Amino acid sequence: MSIAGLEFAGMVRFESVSMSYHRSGAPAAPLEVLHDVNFELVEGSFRWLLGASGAGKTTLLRLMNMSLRPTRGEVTVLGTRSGSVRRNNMSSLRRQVGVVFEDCPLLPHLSAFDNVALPLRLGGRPEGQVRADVMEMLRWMGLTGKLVSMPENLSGGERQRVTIARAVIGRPRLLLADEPTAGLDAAQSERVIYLLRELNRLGSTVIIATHNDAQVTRHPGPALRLANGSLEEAG
Amino acid sequence: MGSFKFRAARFDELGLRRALADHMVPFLVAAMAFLAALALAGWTGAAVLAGHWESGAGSTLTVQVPRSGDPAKSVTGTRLSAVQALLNTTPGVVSAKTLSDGQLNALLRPWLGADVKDLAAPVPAVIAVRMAGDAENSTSLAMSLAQNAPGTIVEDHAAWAAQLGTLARSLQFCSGFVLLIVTVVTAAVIAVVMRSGLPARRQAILVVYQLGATDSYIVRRFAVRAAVLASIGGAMGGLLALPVLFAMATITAPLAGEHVLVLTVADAISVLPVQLWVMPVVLMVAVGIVAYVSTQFTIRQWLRQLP
Repeated sequence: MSIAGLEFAGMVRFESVSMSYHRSGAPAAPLEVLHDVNFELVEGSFRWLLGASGAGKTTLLRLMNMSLRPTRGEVTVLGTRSGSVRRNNMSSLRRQVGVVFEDCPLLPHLSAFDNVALPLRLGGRPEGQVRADVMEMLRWMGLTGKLVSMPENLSGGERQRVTIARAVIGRPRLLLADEPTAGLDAAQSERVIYLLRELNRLGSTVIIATHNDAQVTRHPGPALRLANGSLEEAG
Repeated sequence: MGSFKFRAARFDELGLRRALADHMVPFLVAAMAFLAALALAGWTGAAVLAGHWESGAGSTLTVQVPRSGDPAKSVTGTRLSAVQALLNTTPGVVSAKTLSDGQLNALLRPWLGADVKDLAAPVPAVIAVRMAGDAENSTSLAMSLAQNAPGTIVEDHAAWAAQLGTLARSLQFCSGFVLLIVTVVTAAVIAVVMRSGLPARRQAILVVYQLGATDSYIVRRFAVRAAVLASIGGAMGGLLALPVLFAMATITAPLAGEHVLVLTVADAISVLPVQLWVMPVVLMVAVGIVAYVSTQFTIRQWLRQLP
């Protein structure tokens, strides 16, 4: 796939991206997690991101969120290039990117309502509109009765749905979900995947990382497969 | 659903109200504000004393006329009346008052212990002279007086008043220096407290940052919180200092030429300079600003390490 040098107007582009981590105690021997990854995604597309644990899925998603910078190559997301993005510009990019990451949990001191409202309030949305949108989103997620519940009082599935509601409430142009069904039972997993596919149908670009091939079989779609840090197939 | 109440007004996404370290801030700042209040009082008091000594004692003369009842040399009347007349017509002399026997007694009793009239040695007449601020120096006045009443001594208070003024200015400088140190320590204390509270809020900061919050937004939330807590501490410290300042002002009032008998609230108010009465408000605002700036700097530095 030769894409270098072309003007890119799509959603995500990886150009010869490699990513290495320095292992503690062995600074001279960095661990290469991704190696020469190239692909593009157009707006509104859907991708499964497949691979075994440790294959580099989380790193790939973090590069798309620009919470990591590649050690080689360049990542372009929504027109923002990793090589030239400034810290001041990150907030406008992140408001267009919804994330369901393990290390971006619900805030324990906020209710389900306030957690979901957070991206809207950070974006300066008027409070009246925030309330209407959050109510609608929680209703769509089947969480109408959990508005004032604190995260510690929600089940795992409910917490995950609140997290997804928070990720999609601002109608992000790109949604990155890292193992969004981890820890959920089969019925809850199906519901979460259905919600994410529905979001994609409404126009958002959605990328779901999973190591659960059976889930992909039940919901077939184009996939990126990572193995040993390299992209084995793209389509 | 029916019991759900919209709580945006209390929205605290960073959990700043839960941070225990923040609860120490008002008390730490109150202690620093108390010290700052004392330093401010020192500054104000030294300025008042310096002003009093330089404009009061600094512009007074004491004229001693020996053999005051003897005839004057070149004019009719006694030596005392000649000197008094000359003083009254000298440009720059605001007032010239001859001390009565009673006043002389009061003045000399600590040293001589007897009534002036009972002393074997003659006591000169004493005239307290107040000069205008821009009056000529005392030397030319002494020469004029000596022509009419030889032996008349003019004692100029300006020299020791200047020394006292210098002492007061030094105290003022020391107070200012202490105030500067207190300000720096307050800023450092707030920075350390805020910094120590950051690990507990790291997760919340990362989440809101991940969701699109800017550095400025996060920093502002911390800075406003710190400013509010510090302002409470500043007001507490300022109010706690008022009784101490009131006592100090009452004790030192005679040094500024004031004899105070505090019986009413109005008396109490008049003892303290007005700038000390407004000090709790000034301290509240000042430490609020110090806390805001200090926290801005601390949190912004910390945020730079985030991915």
